[in-house]
Amino acid sequence: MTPPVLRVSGLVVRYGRFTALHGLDAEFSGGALGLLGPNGAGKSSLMRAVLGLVPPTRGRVELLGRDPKRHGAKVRRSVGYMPERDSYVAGMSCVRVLAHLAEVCGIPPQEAMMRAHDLLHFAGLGEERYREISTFSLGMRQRFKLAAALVHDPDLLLLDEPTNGLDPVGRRRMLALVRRVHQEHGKHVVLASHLLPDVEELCDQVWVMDRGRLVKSDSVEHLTRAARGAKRVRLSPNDAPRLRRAAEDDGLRVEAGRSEGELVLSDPDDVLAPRRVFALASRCGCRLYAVQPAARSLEDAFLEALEARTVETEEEVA
Amino acid sequence: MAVFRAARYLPYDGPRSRFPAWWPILGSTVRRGWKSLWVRRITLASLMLAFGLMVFFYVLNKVVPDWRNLLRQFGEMSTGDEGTFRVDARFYAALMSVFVIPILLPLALAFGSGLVASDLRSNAIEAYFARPVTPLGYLFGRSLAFVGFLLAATLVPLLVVWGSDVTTAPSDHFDEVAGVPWGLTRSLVLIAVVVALLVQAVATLTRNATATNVFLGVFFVFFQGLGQSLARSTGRDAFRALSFLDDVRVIGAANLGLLTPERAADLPPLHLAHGFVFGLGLLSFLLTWRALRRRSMLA
Repeated sequence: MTPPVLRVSGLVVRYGRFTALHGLDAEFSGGALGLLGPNGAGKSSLMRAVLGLVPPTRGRVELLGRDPKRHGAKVRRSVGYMPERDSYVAGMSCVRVLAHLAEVCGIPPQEAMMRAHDLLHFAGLGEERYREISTFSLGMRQRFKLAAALVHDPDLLLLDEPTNGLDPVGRRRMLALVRRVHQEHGKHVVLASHLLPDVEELCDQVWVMDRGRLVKSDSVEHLTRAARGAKRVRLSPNDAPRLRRAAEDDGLRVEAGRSEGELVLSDPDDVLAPRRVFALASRCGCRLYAVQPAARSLEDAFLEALEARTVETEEEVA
Repeated sequence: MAVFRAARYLPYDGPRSRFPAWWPILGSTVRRGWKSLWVRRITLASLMLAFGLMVFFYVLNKVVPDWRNLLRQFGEMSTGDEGTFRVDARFYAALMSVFVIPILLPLALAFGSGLVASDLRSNAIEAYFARPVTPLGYLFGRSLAFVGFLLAATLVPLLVVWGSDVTTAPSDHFDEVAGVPWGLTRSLVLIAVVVALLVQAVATLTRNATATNVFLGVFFVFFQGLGQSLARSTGRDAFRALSFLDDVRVIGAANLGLLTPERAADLPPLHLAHGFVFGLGLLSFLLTWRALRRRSMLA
């Protein structure tokens, strides 16, 4: 059986007194995974712990079937990491830096130099390859970081905010490069971002994180399918509890709407047909004022997960 | 004919190098060092000095074949000590000081002060540690190249001078200087390693090449003055161990077999000199290693 690409169990990471990750348990079997979460959610800490750059205080990480703590060098040879911050060796030309980073991963010097040239062309930096990176614009630096993450031909790419600070054209170009590597060459991708459209566009699975905890883990398709088929129902506030109970008994997901007499109904497995809503209302004797499609995206699912987490935390505190 | 390679992503299925990850770091450090104008100037000046001495020995041997005896007699007449102008271990101890103070120390500052500092500034450390490089491997690769450069500019010229001296001298001269290469190697390797670690440690703290150079300049001058003034005011030579340059002198003299009681009079005790130099090296190593580990964790 093929081991999962990434498995974390009970992962706790602390920096002094600050706990960045609180006992994370999750598994990523392969493909493209999006790490979603607001700033400070622990996405970068998770990536660093996965690479073995941060020793876990507790728990276990398994990357490509290996423990990075024990097989750090082997694991890191199979992983390409694109950090959020600029990261390059100064005083050398771009192509020389890239060849050097490939050599560090065990590629012989001549091959490393050829790959560096190839990768810079691939990333759209072919004309700039003899320039020093310190003279690059932000978009060029991002593309260089992607080339650096790919130069040693890793099996897994860890991309930390790859589209940060890019203009729309640059963003689209970056996402296209990552998609090509993922789809055409079968590289697994873990993309940490707080930009939901990026994750929605590239990833097939999502881990939603908040304050060091995994709030939700699901496939993008599943999350958005339910959301796409959801219906927003308006009715009398007195009738709302009855319809809620009936819908829940019928296996639907019910969430409160924006006002007291509003509910959002969805079928977790399918698109919810309006006919089914009307049937439910007639069965419990409720008069509906309006039934509208609750067109939602991953963003709604993300916010919903965060809100649910906030409510849970408040309840814990209380 | 050149092979055409398309501008697209190509998977790599070729062989992997068997060299450890620090090996390319060593190579890149050497290339980076050689790019520096001052490093090239100092290294070439040192090699020119050795080449000049080599030519001097050769020409003198051709023109005045008995110049060694004449020089010795001249020294005996002028100072009463027949060893004053002899090309023996004492000559090499003096030559070593010439190579350490105006060559090794400035070269260390020109080469090493910007090395770790620029890696910290450009966050290259993270690029390395996300690959199969450990903090220890990184430090080893950088330091090995650094020490190699320092030795190429000091030990290699000194050995060249020794070689030309031995080949142009009468055969009995070899017995006088036979222990010199080993003594020079031991002394200069120790000094180069400690200086390389010290410069990198200060650079990790200051993260700035100019600040590192100023700090180290002040460090050498301050401790030289402090050691000597304390030794003079208290009459205890042990305080001279605070002076790095005095430690270099006493270690060099000991390794060249010159540490007689009369020569040791104005020098720090050997064990204290060794203690200070080793302590400085160890402290520097620990400081750099800790800074790199912290950097890898918290960047």
